[in-house]
Amino acid sequence: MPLPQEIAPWNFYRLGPAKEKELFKRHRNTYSGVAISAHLASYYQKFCLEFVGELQKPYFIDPVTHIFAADPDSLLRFLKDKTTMRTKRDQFGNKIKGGLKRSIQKLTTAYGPIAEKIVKDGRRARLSDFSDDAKTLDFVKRVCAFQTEMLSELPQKYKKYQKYAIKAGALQTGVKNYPAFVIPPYFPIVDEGWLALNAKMTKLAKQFAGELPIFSVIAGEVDKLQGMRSAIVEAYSKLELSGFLLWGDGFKGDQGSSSITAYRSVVKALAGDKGQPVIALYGDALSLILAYGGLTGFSCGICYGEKRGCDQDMDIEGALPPFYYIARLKRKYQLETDIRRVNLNQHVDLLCPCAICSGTADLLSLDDSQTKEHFMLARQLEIDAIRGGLSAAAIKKQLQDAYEKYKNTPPFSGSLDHLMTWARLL
Amino acid sequence: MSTTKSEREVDLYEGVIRAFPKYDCFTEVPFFGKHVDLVFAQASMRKICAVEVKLTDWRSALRQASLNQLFACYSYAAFPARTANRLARLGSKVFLESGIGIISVSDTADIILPAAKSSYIYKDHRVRIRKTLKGSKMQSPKALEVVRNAIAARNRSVEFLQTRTS
Repeated sequence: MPLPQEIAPWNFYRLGPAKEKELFKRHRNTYSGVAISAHLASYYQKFCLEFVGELQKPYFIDPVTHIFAADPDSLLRFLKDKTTMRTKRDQFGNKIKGGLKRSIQKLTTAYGPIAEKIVKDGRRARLSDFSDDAKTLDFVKRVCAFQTEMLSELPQKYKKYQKYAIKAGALQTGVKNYPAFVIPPYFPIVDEGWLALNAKMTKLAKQFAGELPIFSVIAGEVDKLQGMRSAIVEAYSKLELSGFLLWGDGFKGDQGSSSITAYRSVVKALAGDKGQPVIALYGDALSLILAYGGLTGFSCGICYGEKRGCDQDMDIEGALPPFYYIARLKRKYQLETDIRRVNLNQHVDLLCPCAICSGTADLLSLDDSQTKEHFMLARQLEIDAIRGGLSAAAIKKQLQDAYEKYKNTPPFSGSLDHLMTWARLL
Repeated sequence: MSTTKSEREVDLYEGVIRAFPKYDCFTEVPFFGKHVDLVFAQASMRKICAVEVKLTDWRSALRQASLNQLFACYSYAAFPARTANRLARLGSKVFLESGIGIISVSDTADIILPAAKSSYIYKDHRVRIRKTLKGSKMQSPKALEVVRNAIAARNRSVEFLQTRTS
């Protein structure tokens, strides 16, 4: 599928639990595309293949090569007690890890010798792992091939209809469902050496991406990226990329204004004079505000996964409690605590007009799936407003008004500083 | 304890604990993914008080203390004396309206604004907290120093922090 055709901001939802598939299908008009982590695409290939095949929306596969530079412990699965099926804990109550996660095992095999050696040694990737050009080329080739081949075939269950679709002109012979763009292997940029490696792998990736656009991931601590932004732009300037995916390590919208300003300066530097597309690999509602400052789009889970640390464990155990997104406050609140504490009916401007919320008398009765549906619909309204021409001045006023009105209202008080920080960006 | 020397919230715990002499004290009690700084309960568990300790950020304290009203009969926010006194002069109306009490901690801890009985108690949450506290009472109480070290080491494991300090 090609890049999203909509006006910015583009919003990509990252595929999570299998039960979200229905939400993706039911609300396919509320997002621009889908992000799929490579370890999921590898371990649940058939599911993902059918998912993107059915959906017919732009998608990309995040190759998650950063995991090989992360703490090797994060690649291990938790040990389960076979009787209770609960995670085993040590004497201090910390969870005990076991062998390599099966999804990572499969991905490591797909990525070949370099990845396998790093995992086998039980250490983080080093620059010296990529000193052999032939091996590095093989690694890049495998990572790109994974993205272009893994989910591009027509799902098996639709193959029997293929000849009819071709006959009716709905499908061209041999056309594959390629991702919207290819992402070269990437590692967090901690110094010039890693920057050079990322740029080198991006250059090598061009020969394996076919005619697909290439988006490079720029990952690292925001302050570091800000300090190195000229070097980053310089390193990528001659590679003629189609765009960037920006990942601030652990960055989130409610950080202080200095971090947010730093993040924005990186966005601006990457976008450059040509207005190159820049997509936040993980982004919360701040991405809507940064749409006024050069950010083209953002990716997140459906009402979760809006930030991530480069060293963070890929999988989190246990179900997340339902969170309810309040568009006016640009924040999610936990249903069982915050929303239970406040009577939203007394704050009409906080009520959401979406079909889910207007269809229930009691928000507390919403289940996890419904709060996610609400999130998709509420976010779509926000994006539509921006695409419809909502001015920066108007959104700034909305943020300031919301802060003034609710800054002393429990349980919202103390959770709204981001509104003023964001307003100052506009 | 001088307010100017109070660098960590946990340094205020001792003063606050002394303000609730007839109660069992529990620290860092888990509640829906967060940790309530201090929870005080009668032996019968009929009356439960919660205290959110903050050094300066009173709006965050207000937020946390308001959520504690979902299970605690009385919910307080505790601050170093200087912050508490400033709050009493300038911002206590919000606390008063929300029924949240204010505790001022210096060498002693004084309740400068009594909490109103919570009208937000949710039975299931109260049962959940009681269950957690009862489970913790099976273990021997940990000294405050142990808790202090655990917090400093960011060790929020269940084993350490669901225990009593008194």
